[in-house]
Amino acid sequence: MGVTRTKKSTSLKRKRKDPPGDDNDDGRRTKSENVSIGKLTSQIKNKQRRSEVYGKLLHEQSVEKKKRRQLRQKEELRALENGETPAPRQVPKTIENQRVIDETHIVREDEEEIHNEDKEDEFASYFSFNSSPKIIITTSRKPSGAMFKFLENLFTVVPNAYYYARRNYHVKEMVKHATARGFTDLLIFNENKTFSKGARVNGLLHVHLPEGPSVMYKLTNLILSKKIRNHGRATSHYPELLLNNFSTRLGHRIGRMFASLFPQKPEFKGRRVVTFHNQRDFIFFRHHRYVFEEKKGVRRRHGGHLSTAEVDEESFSKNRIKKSSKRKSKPSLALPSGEDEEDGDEEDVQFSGDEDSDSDSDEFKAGSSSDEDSDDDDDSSSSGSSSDDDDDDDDDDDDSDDDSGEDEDGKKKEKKPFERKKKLTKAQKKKIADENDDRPTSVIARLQELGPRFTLKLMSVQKGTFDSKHGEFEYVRSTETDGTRKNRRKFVL
Amino acid sequence: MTSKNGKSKKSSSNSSKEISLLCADELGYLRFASSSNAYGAILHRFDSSYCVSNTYENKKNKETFGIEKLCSSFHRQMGCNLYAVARRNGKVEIVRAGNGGFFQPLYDKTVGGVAAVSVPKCVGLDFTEDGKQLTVAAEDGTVTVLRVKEDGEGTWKSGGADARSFALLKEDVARREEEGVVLCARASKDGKRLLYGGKGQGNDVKIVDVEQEGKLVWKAKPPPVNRLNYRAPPWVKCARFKDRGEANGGNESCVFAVGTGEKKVRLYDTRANKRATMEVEYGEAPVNSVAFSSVDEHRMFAADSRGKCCAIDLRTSKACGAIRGNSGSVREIEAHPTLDLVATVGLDRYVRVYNGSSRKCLGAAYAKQNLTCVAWDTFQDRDGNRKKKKGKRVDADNSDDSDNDDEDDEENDNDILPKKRKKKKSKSKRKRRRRMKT
Repeated sequence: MGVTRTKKSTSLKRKRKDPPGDDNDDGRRTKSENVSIGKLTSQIKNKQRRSEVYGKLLHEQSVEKKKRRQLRQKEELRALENGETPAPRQVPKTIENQRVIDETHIVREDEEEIHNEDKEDEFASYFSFNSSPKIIITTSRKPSGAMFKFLENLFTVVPNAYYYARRNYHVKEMVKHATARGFTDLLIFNENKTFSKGARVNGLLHVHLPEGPSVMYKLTNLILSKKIRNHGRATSHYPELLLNNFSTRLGHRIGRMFASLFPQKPEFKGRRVVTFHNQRDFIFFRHHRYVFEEKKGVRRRHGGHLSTAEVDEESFSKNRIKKSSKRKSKPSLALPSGEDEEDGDEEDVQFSGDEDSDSDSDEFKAGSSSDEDSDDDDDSSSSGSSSDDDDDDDDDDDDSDDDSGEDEDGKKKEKKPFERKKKLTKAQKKKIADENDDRPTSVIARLQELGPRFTLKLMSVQKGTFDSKHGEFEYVRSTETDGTRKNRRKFVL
Repeated sequence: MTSKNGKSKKSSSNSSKEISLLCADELGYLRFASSSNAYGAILHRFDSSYCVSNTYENKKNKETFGIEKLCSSFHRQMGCNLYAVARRNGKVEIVRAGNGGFFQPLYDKTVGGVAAVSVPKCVGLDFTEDGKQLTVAAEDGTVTVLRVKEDGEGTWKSGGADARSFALLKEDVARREEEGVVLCARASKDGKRLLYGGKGQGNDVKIVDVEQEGKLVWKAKPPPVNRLNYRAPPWVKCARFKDRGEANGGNESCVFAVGTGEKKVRLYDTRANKRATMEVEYGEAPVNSVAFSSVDEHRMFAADSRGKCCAIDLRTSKACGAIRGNSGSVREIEAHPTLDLVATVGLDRYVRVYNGSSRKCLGAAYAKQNLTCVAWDTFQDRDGNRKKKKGKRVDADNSDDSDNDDEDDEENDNDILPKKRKKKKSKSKRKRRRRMKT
């Protein structure tokens, strides 16, 4: 009896459960929008049955989603073809864009109090050109081979850095000696000692000298340049520095600290960029060279949905953008325009391929640089537009190059004209040759990654030089005060 | 007079709910933070900030105007609370501040060895209870006592105060320029005793008589050795006298707490023993500040330089709960003189106000700079409390003017109230809190 009863009950349940599968689409969609599939199926006690229904629903959901997406894309394409403005794209909710902006954020850079503080903090002498960085790099005690490989990489990044063997010195001693010898920064890289897996560099202590703060970072995701595909080799030019998204007061301070590691006069000839990109309190370190490649033929742009590396898009000179946007109007997979068909050239496809690979290799970079560009547009709009006016006769490409170079400061901009001329002379021959060719040229700016790549996570900021026991902390990472698993939208940098 | 009283009454009734506090930072800004509600408590904004640096643009703010100590005399002059501010350049100012406004310093005096190459830091700044005497102690051991001249109106004004000073250290010691001989100094409420201590052998807590040119009155014995036969050298980072109450005999300042650089909080009772009567170890960083609760006799607070604050129960001599929320070093923790509130300021640039018993954060305000000190502005609040209480206690007392007259004069008595009244007060508070919760 008991058995039959249970059977009956299950069958009943099944009947009750089944309808969602057999229902007409509209009803379910509304349901599934509100209730998760797991919730819908969780009442089914038979596991096999449950997983079946679950899988089915999941599949249906994904199919539906795909349909909806395709519909959106089609509509967008249609709108573009008709010359209308397409519906605004959906912006995904991310942890980052849900961030709560609190009062620690710097609203205006030129605020008096911030200025007053900056004027007198530990990095003031660097920013007023009174001191130039001179750095000690050292390791934890008994460094491993892996550490030295890493340091080898690192020395290509940081100019004016000196290696000192750690031997058996305490940090305090090193601080004392380094200060006496006129160093401005002390970088101590730490590694773990799990010998089974091999030692791995996992920490960085950055002490600014003589009195500056000492900052502890956790270092993760270290990839040496050797492991990076198509990596370049760094030159010894002073790099440019990008500090992205250091938006709070603490971030500002950290950013200044990073800045004071590098000489303040970037040599643009080297086209070398060091990036500290903050995202969700993780500081991504990257080291690139920007490369401008001039190709015959037209770069085909992706239409619609596909994400593209926007590195070059914004930075193209205006006429370029116009051209490309014209082309954009026919984004179907067939060859885009009459011109191109004449060319019968496959290069464009290659370009897009290149680009994609780039964007894959460092996604954040693409995003960041687009941010950057939007920032820069405000700054460099005057210079950019003027150059556009000039360049029509001789060469637009090189100018666009310079615009695309991620420029930060006024100082850098000042140096640019000089730089531009030099390039002109270099590439002149090539250009003349190209001008005879009717095909339109396009310049692609891409980033070639050079050095090591790693991620830093801020653990603590200590006022004064390092003191393990009695230090006074400006910031200590803790679950109480920072974003937690419950509240992930609070960030400190 | 009557019109004046009427005005003050108005203002007090408007601001009776308001709590406000003043905080000082390393760049020399003074800021007001206020909340419209004492217990519901969002410390929502800074009403105004006051900066001296604007007038002296070329100088370095941090080294000249950075504020090292701030203390509140809970006394009014011309309708505003008086504060003393010790700046980095050795200047001590007495500032009138209140109702969200600041005024030019009333009194301005350079203290400490001006001739010295580097101006010694101010390590102690305390008003007496009547607000007419200010004790300033500097790092090099010079103590300056500023006192209002009695012949005039008995108020602070420029040039209107006597200053006398004496040295805590003998000249040869001071000349050796040993650092950390005097790291902290506090004067008692009656202004007769001065408590100081420092870092290093022989610099444990001492009490001297202010009136007798720094004659040594009491000296702490070092703590017993630990099981390794080791005794850490003394390192007094902060200290505070407990307000005289019934427990202390009411006439002498003899109970005080000390926070050490070795992560310990000690409680001394000069009548009982030369050694600490209580010792609590907590946290993992030097204790930056200690405070006694004004509401609960058996509770005190301590804050360390990693941002950890806790309440300590004096009966069990254990840390009884953490005050959470500070992400940087807490420079000062200060209990409200009448209410069950605690304020913390520190290097994370926030002023936070907590409920003293539940240790919940009631509000926080962002002050933009690294903060060094905090002081409560209690005047308005006291008005409000007193009124309510009076209404309850004496129903027949219907003349408001007399109320107001009383409160200015009676204020000093507030601390020495008999026990019953205190209890009543706390009960009413509890009720109010309940109301707030509901």
